[in-house]
Amino acid sequence: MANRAAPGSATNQQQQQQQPAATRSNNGAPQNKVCQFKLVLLGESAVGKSSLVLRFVKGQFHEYQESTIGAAFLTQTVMLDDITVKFEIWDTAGQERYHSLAPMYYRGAQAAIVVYDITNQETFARAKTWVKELQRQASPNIVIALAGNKSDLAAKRMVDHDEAYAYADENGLLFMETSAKTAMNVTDIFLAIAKKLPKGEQTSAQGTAQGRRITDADQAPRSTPNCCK
Amino acid sequence: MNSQYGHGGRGGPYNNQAASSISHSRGSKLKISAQDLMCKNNCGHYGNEVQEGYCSVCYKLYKQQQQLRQQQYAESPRDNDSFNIFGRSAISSGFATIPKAAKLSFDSLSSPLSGFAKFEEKKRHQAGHKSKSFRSVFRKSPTPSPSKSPDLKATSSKERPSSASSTPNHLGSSSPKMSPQRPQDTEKEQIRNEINTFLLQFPKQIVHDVVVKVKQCEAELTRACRTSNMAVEEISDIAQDFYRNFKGKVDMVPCYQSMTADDKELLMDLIEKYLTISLYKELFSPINTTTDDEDKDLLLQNRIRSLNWITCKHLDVILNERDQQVRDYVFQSINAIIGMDSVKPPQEKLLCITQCSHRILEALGMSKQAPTSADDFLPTLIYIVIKANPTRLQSNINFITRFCNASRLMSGESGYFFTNLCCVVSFIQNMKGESLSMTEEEFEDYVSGRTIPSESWDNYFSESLHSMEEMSNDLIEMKSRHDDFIRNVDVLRKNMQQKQEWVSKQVNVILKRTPLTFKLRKVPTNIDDEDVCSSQPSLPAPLQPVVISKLVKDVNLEPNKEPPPVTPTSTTTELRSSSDRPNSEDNCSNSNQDITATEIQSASQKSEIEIPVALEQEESRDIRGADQVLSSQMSLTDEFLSAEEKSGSEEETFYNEKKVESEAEKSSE
Repeated sequence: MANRAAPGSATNQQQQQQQPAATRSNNGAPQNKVCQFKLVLLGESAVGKSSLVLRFVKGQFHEYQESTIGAAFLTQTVMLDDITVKFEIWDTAGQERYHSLAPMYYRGAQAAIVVYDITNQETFARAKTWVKELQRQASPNIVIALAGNKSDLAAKRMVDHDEAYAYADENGLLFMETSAKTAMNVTDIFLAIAKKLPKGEQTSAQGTAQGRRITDADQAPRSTPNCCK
Repeated sequence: MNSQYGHGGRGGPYNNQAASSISHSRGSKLKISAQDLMCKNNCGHYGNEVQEGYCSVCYKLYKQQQQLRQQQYAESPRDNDSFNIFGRSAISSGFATIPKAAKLSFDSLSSPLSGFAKFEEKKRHQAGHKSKSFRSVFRKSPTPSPSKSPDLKATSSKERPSSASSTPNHLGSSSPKMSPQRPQDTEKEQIRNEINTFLLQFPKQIVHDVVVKVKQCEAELTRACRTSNMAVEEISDIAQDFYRNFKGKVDMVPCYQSMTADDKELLMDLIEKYLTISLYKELFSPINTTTDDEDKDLLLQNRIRSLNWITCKHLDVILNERDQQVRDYVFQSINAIIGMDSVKPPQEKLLCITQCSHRILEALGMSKQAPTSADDFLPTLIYIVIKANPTRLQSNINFITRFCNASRLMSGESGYFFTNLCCVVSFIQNMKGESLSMTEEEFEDYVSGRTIPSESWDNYFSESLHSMEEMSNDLIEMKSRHDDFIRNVDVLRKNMQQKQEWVSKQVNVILKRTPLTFKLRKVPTNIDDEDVCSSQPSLPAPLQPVVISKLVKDVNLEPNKEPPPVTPTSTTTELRSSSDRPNSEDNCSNSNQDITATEIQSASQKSEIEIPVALEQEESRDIRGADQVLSSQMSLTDEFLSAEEKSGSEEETFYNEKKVESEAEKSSE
């Protein structure tokens, strides 16, 4: 049943061995390249971080029926030309008392959305501290987006759009005013992040793997002949 | 099929046998007694490790037997590749070829003395797991040398019959929980079987490569574990480098191209599982090295114990602990996080954390009518960890961090929840008064146990107190409903009064409109009465009864009027008779007229009361009837009210009783 020495499988394998270069050159830039990115949500509590994600992932606002799933950890894929970008969205606790724990969350994250509430000046100030912290402590090429949420409540606006825009421009952030309620700019901001993320990341990772493999190969001759012969 | 399982299961019985033989001769082994140097056949000669512990004579016999078996074995349609799969190669290379006594020195790759010293040290630390450490020491041979391959086949063929017979048994005990005697053994066997079964579907080359690489890593790790002063981080680096390199290799090397991405993932998982299970004792909070994991565990445990007064309110946790189902979820999550210590591979530990987190999310979902965000989740996880106080939490976290594939910890759901758990530990360690929004003094008082907050864990657990609370809640609800009811009754009573007033007013209006006047009673007309007309004085002129017969008689008798005096008697009799007749006629017409008169009268008073007396009687009857209805209604309401009041008082007495009961319970608590 499990006779792996079957001639068929052996020839198959040989064939595969014979044309690895060809297959790799074909698959070097595959049609459906999948890039996975870790995205962290930061911001004061009750600015609508989870609503924003739920709108993006489920396309709904206030999801009562599926509340058990929770919005703490969600994934969503976005098609960008011929690349599939898979977002892994990590929500963080926004309360001040958990602020010191944030580095654990954004460690290794390729993207971050800092959310504030346009009807609350304090949340904007807090967002600025988040941005500063990310720029100082997160990985250097992290893509940071600033989202002014609750833009549907423009009547109660406390944070000026231009002010936030100028700040974002200054710090090289993506900026959008979003509304989880009306879905305004929600998908757009994620798409903008997906576009800005370095897609060569995957290949660079392979590059490092290759680099390691060389060191691995140094050891390999010592061991492989022992067993394979 | 049979062959596959036969191969996979082969390691099990052999291992157990080996282990038992070791434990049997453990006392002498440490010193390498002369007995251990004897021939395995107990023929009285000394054995030789090159001759597998036999003396030269016995070895020759043994070899012959082996060859015979090998031939038989080769005839059977068996796949030889699986020889190289774990367990088998480990055993063959490490175990079977070397006499028991010499194995230690051979295996440890250092001088026999240092190996023994190491061993003794280990023994002191792990008094309860001697046989296990023995086995782990024996099994890890650094590289299987090619010269041993015949031995390998020989031993396996030698072991074959017993293994074949024990195959069903072995399969049966594949679950780690089913054999309490040697859980680690079974687990190891299980994972070995799993890998073997998994690898069977791949080409020889891959199998070889995987086995060699993993053996190499295992040996390296074992060596590292036994090297004193080796920082655990370095051991971890060995493992992590291996994972990374191997993953890179699997991704890049052409011979692995036949595997799907899922298979590669699974392979990585299985390898990680295998390494961590087989080296669990050495890798989990290593003692030889310079870690203080156990001290940290104790510190953390004591810290959490000192925080066990914390309730949902302190952390702003929105769990609705009144709800039975929410409490069930809370207990399930506590169980899951406590269960983390009892599973070995990092993946399974992560799975426990994920399960715990899912239960928490479910509990939160039931407590709050909105999607659960990290704002709610993290405090709840803190709360759960404080309430659960999982054993060796720090060690477990360190173990996962060190020996779980690092890429898994940085991403994925399990990575997210693990990060949360790390955050929780960090938060608990650094918790201050302000983290719970209370003053430092208050916090210190609580931590030191000088003061106990009003609400504590016991309160949460005590079933009777809880049910009492539920009951009092019910009573409060009942009371409010009762109040509602009383209010409604008042409204009803008011309405009734208004109705009554309205009805009496209406009656008055009617009475005013049609005053009650008493008419004379109708007297039957005396037919014989002469003066009929005078008896009806009220009738208007046309209706005035007229005695017609008299007139007719008069007309008839007019010619005879002239001679009235002629026959006075006859006339009188005639008259009398004639007057008799018309009288009756008269009476008749009179009554007729009477009817017409009343008809006219009634016509004239159409809107008014038709026949005053009768109507008045009727009306009065009506009024009386309405009165009766009203009074009956009132009496009904009164009855109702009194009944309600009665029930109300009953309720109140019930409430009072409950109160007394609950107070009694409280006092008894």
